[in-house]
Amino acid sequence: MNISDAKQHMSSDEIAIAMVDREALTADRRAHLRDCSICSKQLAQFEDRLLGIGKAARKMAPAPSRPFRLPQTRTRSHWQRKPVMAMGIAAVVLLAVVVWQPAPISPPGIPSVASFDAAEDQRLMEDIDAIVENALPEVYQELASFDMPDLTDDDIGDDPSDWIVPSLQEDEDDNFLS
Amino acid sequence: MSEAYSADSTKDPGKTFQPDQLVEQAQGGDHLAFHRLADYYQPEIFRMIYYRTRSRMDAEDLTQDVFLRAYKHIGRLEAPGLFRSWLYRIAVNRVRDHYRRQKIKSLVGWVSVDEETFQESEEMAVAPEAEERMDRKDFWMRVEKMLDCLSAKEREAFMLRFLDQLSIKEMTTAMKKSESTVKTHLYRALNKIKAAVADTDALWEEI
Repeated sequence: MNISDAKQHMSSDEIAIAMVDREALTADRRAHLRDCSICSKQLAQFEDRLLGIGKAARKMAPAPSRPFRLPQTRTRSHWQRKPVMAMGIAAVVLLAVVVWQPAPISPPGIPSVASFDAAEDQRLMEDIDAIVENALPEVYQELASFDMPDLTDDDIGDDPSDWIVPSLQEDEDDNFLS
Repeated sequence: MSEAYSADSTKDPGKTFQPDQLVEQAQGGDHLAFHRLADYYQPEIFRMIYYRTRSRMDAEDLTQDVFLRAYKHIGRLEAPGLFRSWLYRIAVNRVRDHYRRQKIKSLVGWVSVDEETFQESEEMAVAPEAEERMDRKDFWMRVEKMLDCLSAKEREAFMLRFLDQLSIKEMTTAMKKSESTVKTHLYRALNKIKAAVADTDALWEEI
């Protein structure tokens, strides 16, 4: 094999390309592959080895133990019957309610301890109300019952002396403002 | 291996097996037609999964799952002629999901036993002969050694082409890649393998 022959022989890359797609080689290289026994042998050997792996792998793999079968599904007629069954059950329940006419639901009785607590609470609240309405002790009730002047006027302060001599506070405030 | 289900007998050329027609019937809800398709393709899909998982139990489960999914989605298959490569695509995805789950399990710590040990013990349960078992183990170790230098996509391309013996066109469907992408992955895989085993012809002989 001289140098020019060696140059013309296919490279490792070209062998790989030829393995994938011979059409990807240029026309010259395809022609060389066709004519060169060395290159065609090299390619055939590489192909055989790789395909041999596939054949060996097939021998070295077990076979499936059971065939595939689709899981059993419920029949369509069952699904068709389902709404009818539901309607039937609903009708029976409705009929039972109409015929039976159950008594209106009344609130459950109050347990004895709870009723005792409720009465206590009621009394306590009444006492509180009474205290709020009549905050003064009984001895002062009569004094408090005298007619009192109307103190609702906002212009009059809490101090009764204001009725006679008005406070200077307003004037002071006015001065301050002026 | 006497219990093994051998559906390869359905590939008897004497029998009229028309996959396209069966696919159309299965698309119409014909269970029987789908069972015939499953009987025909199950062994090769099982092997394909076994090559990748090296576990018979996983291969059994995943194969069942592949066909169940295929039946559920067969209506989406527009070209009945692509049924075989479409099955491979489902299988490739299932295997990928399986590995993902295994990875998560190992991270979480659910997989406490060494996977290889587990698979080996599993094989021991099904392989009748010790010699056969050792041959099988040696073979897969050598194949694994050879494929070690490949990336995930190159590995998938190589396995689909030479172990599963799919055509380039079928590979495009199975890998969901364009023809040029598939060829590129395959070309790179071959180059790497050729370089890796160039000096070790013994490896070829062993395989």
